[in-house]
Amino acid sequence: MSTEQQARFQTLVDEHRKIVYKICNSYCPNRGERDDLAQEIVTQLWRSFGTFDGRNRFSTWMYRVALNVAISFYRRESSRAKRTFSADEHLLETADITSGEPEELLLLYGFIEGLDPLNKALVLLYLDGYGYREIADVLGITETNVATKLSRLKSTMKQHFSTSGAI
Amino acid sequence: MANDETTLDELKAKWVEHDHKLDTDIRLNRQLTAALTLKPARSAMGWLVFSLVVEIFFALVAVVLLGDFIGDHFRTATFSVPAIALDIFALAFLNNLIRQFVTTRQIDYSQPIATIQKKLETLRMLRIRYVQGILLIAVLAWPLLLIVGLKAFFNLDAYDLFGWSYLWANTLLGLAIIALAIWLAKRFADRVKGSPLASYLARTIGGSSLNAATDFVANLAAFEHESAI
Repeated sequence: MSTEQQARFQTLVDEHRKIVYKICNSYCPNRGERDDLAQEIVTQLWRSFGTFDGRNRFSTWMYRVALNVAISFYRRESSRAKRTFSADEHLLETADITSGEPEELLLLYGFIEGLDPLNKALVLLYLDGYGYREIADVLGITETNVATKLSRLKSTMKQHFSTSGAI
Repeated sequence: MANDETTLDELKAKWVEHDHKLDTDIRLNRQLTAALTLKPARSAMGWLVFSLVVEIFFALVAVVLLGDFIGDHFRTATFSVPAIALDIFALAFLNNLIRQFVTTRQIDYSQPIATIQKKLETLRMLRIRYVQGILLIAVLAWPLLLIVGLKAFFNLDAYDLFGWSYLWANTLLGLAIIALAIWLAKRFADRVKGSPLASYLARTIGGSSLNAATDFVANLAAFEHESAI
């Protein structure tokens, strides 16, 4: 691909870097593996960039690719892919984000972490403000199914928080 | 602290605040991103496709050579029967490999999650069955390979050289080894987690990888087709 395309890709990924961060945080409890996952996501985004035709928002396309990579990463049993950069270098450089966050947010991350990989994807898309139709498109299920699952997840969450005594 | 009424919708507001904070708190290392786009290493899928092409080539060669051998020794059951058995195995492998190859060509990560994950899991199951088959043949069917190989390449008769009892004893030994390997793999899979290769083999032989893949496919189907409340 051309240098122009590389520059466009970098700009788009940079604009939506939060998606990579949130997915890595939700699918990798192990901090050490988050960089590996971030690398795999960016590499796959680049490989698939040719399939982005602009019909959907870039963020929707990015979510599809990144969630597919994250679920495969989560499911994989063999050794992880070798990193192309050293352990001191990080694709996503972050401040200590969780330190000043409200307790509810940490609980929310905890709740997401406990979900199976498919429901994790559903909740992340919902929290990021995607409508039922877009969520259905990304997941490959019907809108009715999305509504049903979200309703169930909301009640599970309420139960989870009230029984844990956290809320 | 929130109260019992806190729901996903209420927490969504906190999530939005968190999202705004991420705008300033996260920086993408553009140098590393550029490195990834400039030198994309061959993906795991790329390596798999490459190895599948090689494996399909060897499976095809095996099918052709075995077919030729069967044609030459069709009237001698002591040679044609082992060769037919091996040819059936080779055809089964070839069928599995072609299905793997076709599935890898259909994987496009920008397609919906349910579709792609189903394909990836199908590929995983085909791969597990293939490795299980290879291990089974290596342990159980090597007397057949010995009979056919000696005859085909050196024109030697394994029955005369080793005797029937030796060949049967090895087949039975193979069965015992398989039973022992399955038992060991099931019993000690957790203890070899430190070694990726040993862990992979233990989970493949013991069947836990295939069970996990089957369960995930069932979960995917339930996730996809769940009816409304």
